[in-house]
Amino acid sequence: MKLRSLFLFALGLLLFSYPLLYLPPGGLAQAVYLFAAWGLLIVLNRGLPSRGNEEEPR
Amino acid sequence: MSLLLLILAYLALLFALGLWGEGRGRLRSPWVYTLSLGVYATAWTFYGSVGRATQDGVGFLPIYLGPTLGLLLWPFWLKLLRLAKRHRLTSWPDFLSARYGNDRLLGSLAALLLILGLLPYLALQLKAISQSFIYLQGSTGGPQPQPLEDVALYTALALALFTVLFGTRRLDPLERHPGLVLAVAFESLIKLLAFLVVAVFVLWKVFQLELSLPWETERLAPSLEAQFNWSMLILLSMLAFFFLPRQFYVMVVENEQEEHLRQAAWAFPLYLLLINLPVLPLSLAGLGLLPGLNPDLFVLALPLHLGSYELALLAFLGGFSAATAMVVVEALALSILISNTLLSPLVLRSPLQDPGQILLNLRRVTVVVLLILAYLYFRFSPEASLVQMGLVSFVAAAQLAPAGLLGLFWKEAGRLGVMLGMLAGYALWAYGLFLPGLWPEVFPGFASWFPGLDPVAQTAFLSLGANLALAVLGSYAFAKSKEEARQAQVFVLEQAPPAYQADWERVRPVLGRFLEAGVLEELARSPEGLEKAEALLAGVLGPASARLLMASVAQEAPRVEEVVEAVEAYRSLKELDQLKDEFIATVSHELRTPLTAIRSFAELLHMRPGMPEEERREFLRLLVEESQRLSRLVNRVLDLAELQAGPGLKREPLDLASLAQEALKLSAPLLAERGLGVETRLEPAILEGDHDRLLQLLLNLLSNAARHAKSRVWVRTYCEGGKSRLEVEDDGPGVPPEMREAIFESFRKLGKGGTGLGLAICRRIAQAHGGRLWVEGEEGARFILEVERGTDTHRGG
Repeated sequence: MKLRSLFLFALGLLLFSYPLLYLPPGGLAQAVYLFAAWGLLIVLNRGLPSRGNEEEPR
Repeated sequence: MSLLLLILAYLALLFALGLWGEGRGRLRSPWVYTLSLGVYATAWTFYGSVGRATQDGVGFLPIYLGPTLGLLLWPFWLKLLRLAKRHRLTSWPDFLSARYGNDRLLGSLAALLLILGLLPYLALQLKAISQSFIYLQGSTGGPQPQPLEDVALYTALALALFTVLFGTRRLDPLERHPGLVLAVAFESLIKLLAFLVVAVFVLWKVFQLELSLPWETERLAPSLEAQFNWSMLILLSMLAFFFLPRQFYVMVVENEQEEHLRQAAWAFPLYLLLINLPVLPLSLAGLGLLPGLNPDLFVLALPLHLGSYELALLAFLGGFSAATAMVVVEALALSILISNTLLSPLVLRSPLQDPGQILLNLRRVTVVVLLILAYLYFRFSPEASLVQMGLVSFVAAAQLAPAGLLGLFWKEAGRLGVMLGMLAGYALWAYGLFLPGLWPEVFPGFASWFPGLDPVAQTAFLSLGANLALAVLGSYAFAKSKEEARQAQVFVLEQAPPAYQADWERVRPVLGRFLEAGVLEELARSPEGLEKAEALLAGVLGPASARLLMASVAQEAPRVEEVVEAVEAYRSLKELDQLKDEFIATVSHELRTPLTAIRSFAELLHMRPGMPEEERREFLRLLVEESQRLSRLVNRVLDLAELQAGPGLKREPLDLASLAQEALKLSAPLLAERGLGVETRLEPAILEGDHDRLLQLLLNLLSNAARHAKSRVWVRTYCEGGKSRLEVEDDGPGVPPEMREAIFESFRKLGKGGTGLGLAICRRIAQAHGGRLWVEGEEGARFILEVERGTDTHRGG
């Protein structure tokens, strides 16, 4: 669990790192890229549903 | 008028919701928990982000990416939840004072600095309410209303009332307020919906009316400075998210189950993502349709401009809910931390009758005072953007991060180190941000140092860097108290705190001043009642005061490790005592032998006055010999005692070869008398040592060799592997392997003669020089002295 979270943290750092940000050509493209990366991290942190992610026990 | 009615209706709804939630007891939904974390998104998010986006595009996003990154590490934060539950910690200053040896000074310092740091942030919310209210009433650039006509003042007072009613109803050791949390979660929902609805409406209108907008926003520049600013803001907001008092309150204190954090770790970033989606479209629409207007007001102005007063009211409500939720929770969190760290020690010391009630009333007063101070700050501080005011507080809250994180995960972190770090961090924060915010002409901050960098980013970097460095260095440099070391174990390794022993009848009246009778009865029946009582008191008084109170009525039972340590120490003391007894017995025995002889000869001489002259001379010779032996023995015992008491050795550069020559010269008569040949190989062997002691050692070894050798003695000095060595070898019977250690003990002799202390003294001398002395050899005995090689030149023979 802790290892997975560290991995996701490292991935997050990479995705939000500045050099990647100015690869998209314009300001709006930067925004689209950031929101997409953000969404990806949220999905990964939740765990993919196909892997039978445990829900709230009650 | 409709605006005032809306505000009143909304506040009434909040009160009703709080009351309803309070009546329902604890709400265990993880969704309520997740939404309550939304108190992070304040008026700054609602109005300020749009303002910032007009300047540098996605530059507003690091404030939300930071918490997202921090929550990816949620398994590590579970430790904080567990510790806070176990020790009833209600704020970071509580945590710091408990973790660093129940030190009230550290907690109070952190609390004071936090209050100072967070005033601008509270003021920001009031400013947003005031600004939006004035704008909706139709005046844009007029002077600020008089305080008595200012809606921000009345809102601040209404929020103080709300906080007092739902946050300080009773002195709750758990500090949980379900009604308040429900209201805050509801406000999170309102601000999200309002923001999204306004954005959808604006975009729909833009497309419907085919208005032209600048469909491109500012782009982040590819420069090192921009990269530094971006990274620092992400780091800063990640730390602020976890170290702001209101976040600790909703995330840790109001957490019911660890599982809720697990859900919030993805659901809350999702909330942040959703609430940020409208920012760029609204900023573009504002730039296109309302050029020249203060961008912080776009959210309100756009619906008005596009003809919908109702949606402008909804936008106002969204901003209002963002501001009020923050003000209520921050004021409550700050009042709890002020009461736990600053007020409870004073109240405990006073002879007043009902300290619990007094503390509760003081908390209520604190809430009102805090909000009035925030209002005054807002009225009298110079104009600044919403974002700028918020970031100043972010840097202040983040100053607790080094002490907090080191305290959670590093056992060696020490009180003085983190205190120094914190002081340095806050000093740099004050110089770089706080003072320049109040008096920009007098305090320029660090702006002139690094002109290309954002003042917030550079102050954050400098203050956090200095804070962390001093905390780490100070932790290594300063010794820790026993209490500190124990609390480090309790917090970092999550060990159970020490148990108490006390008579309940003695404890009951003291605890009864703070805890209800029913709770006390339950505790008295529980096997760990006293420990639970301390935890409950910690929620009311703060952990440091709770510990002090418990220590005054109960005794701490030693822990298993402490008992084991004490038993071991006792055992080794007993062994030493036994050794000492044996030594005294042996010394007495050794002294008795010559004494008995002396006495017998003296008595004989006394009783037989007519003893023949020859016999009398023989007796007198024996008398002298025995008294010499006695004196030698006493000298040696004194030598040994002196060496054992701690060597007061001189340190001077010496050469073992010269020493050996000197010793050989002195021993020459003895060796000649025994008819022994001496062979030497004396190479320079430098060391730093005490000339007289080493000579004593050499003479001892030589006299030993002379006593046991058959025909020959070898003396060698040389250097080997950075050590100086001396060997004295004889061709005598040698030392059997099983006796090679024993002969260095006091009064262990191989043959007859000698005091039995010579080799023990030799070994002590060697050890006092940081060296060693041992014996080896198959035929004959070879004694080897080995001492660290010296660097200086020898003083000569």
